[in-house]
Amino acid sequence: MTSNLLVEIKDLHLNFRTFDGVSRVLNGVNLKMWRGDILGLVGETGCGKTMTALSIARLVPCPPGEITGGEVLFEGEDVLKKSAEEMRLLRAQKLAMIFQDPTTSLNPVFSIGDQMIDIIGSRQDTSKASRLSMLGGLGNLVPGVRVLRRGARDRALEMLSRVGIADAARRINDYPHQFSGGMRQRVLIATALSGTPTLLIADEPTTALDVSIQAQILRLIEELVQELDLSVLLITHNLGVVAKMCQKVAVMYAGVVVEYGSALDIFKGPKHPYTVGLMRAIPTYGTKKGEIQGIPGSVPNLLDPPPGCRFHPRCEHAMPRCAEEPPPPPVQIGDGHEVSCFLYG
Amino acid sequence: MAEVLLEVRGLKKYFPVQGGLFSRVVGYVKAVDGVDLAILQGESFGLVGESGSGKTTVGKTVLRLIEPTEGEILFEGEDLCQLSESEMRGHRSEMQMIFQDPYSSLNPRMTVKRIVGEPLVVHKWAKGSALDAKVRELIDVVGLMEDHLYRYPHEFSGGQRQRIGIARALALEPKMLILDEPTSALDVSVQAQVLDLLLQLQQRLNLTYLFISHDLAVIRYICDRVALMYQGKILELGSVEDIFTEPMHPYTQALLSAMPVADPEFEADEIILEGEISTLGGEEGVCRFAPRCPVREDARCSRDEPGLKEQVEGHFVACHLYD
Repeated sequence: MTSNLLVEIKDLHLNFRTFDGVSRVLNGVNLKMWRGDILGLVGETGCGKTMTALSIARLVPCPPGEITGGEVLFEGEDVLKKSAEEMRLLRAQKLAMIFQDPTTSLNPVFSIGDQMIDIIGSRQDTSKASRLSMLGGLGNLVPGVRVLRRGARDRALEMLSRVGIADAARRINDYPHQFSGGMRQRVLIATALSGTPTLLIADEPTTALDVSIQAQILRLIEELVQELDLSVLLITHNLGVVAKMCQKVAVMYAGVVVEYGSALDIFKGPKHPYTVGLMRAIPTYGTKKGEIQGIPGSVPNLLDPPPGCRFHPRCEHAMPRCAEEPPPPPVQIGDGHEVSCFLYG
Repeated sequence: MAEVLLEVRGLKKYFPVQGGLFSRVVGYVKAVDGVDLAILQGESFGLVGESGSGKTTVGKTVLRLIEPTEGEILFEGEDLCQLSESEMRGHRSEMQMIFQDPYSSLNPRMTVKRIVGEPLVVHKWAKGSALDAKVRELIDVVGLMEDHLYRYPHEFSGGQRQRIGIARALALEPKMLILDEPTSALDVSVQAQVLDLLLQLQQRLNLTYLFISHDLAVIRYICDRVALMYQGKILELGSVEDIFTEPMHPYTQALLSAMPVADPEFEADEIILEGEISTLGGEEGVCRFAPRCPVREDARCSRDEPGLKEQVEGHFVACHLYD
């Protein structure tokens, strides 16, 4: 079984130092991801979804961030203990990331071709990578580098046509502003998957897009996952997207994974009061007026989080121990269904 | 049958595009290109569309925050476009707007008390202790507390800020609220709170809503009737029931099928549209949706522009399929 475990995060604690004090962003995150899974990481703004994902690639900005405890195992090795060069190679070869805003993820002053060639080149070892990126377009004048660049360019073209950019040979010389939002996201997907990644971290990949474009991009991701045998960590606050794409779901609240299970378990039989509240808050087909309910209150300030379970001030089932004891550890309540709540032991 | 509160006839808004050495006008972006609407007293009317479809421009031109290029806007039978700026200001108390982004629509240097009271001061409706009492009442109506009055916007969460925006909009006892993506910037658990508040307020104060959103689930939840916009035109208009259960226009069908449903067992027959909406507005005299339409007939769709016709009672569609 262990060989199938791709990512395991154990009791990860992450603090951010701010001018107002220490913000406890992650407070004991536990997460397991199996090979071949599409895992949805769900939660509201500021609950630590993105930071959890960034910690897998060790991209959390430190300082101001500070990992104060825990382990992040990727294919059995703790990424927190790796050297910078080992990390670079891991990111280059095994990990792929796409982000929410395709506009800010691309450099406006370079053509997408140049940007893709840089990145594809950097997936190789350091000496070649630096020669490629230091010289930029001038690299074409140096014979050895020209060969490398040509190889990278071919790969870029191949990926661009794969993600559905028509007339890739011409468009590769275009600049980001010449692409629409959906097309930019395709360019980013093409760039991210140009190596041989095993894990794709997709952070709100369709949040900035319209519904009809979102459908196109989700379909594309589904196809590529099949084709390239990828595992995906899909971060989103859109429960509809999760229901559509994911087999497994982890629900986060204020820096803790409060519930983890199959999509069916989470949507049909949510157990944690927060998950139950979330499900009640979304209108779906056939919801009548007045039937949805918000969760009273708002997300806690992580500079001064409530003691005990961080959800207890908003929880309708809160008991005295919820405020007194440290946050509950995850309890197994069904096949692969875990909940962190005192209601369940 | 309820009375028509707001009627929009042939509304157009073209934004000039400048270019060249002397910033000459080289073309127009047809953000709104001939929209007809009638909103009934007490209903929630939804305006849906993707970004660039012109829905926000409709909302803003109705209030004349943007001057329309052409068309009539009749509020209780009176054409707002004919009014002078100062006459219009009087009418704005009857229609108020709530904006998408609760972070940028509140002045960061004002306390909540001043923000909510400002419309009353500007319109000289109240001052002194009457103003104070009115502001307290409004704060209570939207579910905020009295000790919030002396705080500044940055001290509030997104949901609370949207409540402040709602309180400010209600200050002048409007008949109608124009809500431009009021919950898009909010998390789901808070979105539900705000939607709930809007429904309660509507019942209590007999408000009419023009609800602009790209979120079909929210529109379905809160609206009675809905119009779909695409490149400045309405493609389909009808009751929420009709549109969501029996969509007629190919665009509506595709959009509804592409809407992710929060149910892992739900299997949609997805229609994935090719291409993207062009923000430059459509060509004259052709169906604007034709380039992306899965069922287009080149002969008709690229020659004639279909008009909005009533197919079933109260259900209007602009498509050659139903000619």
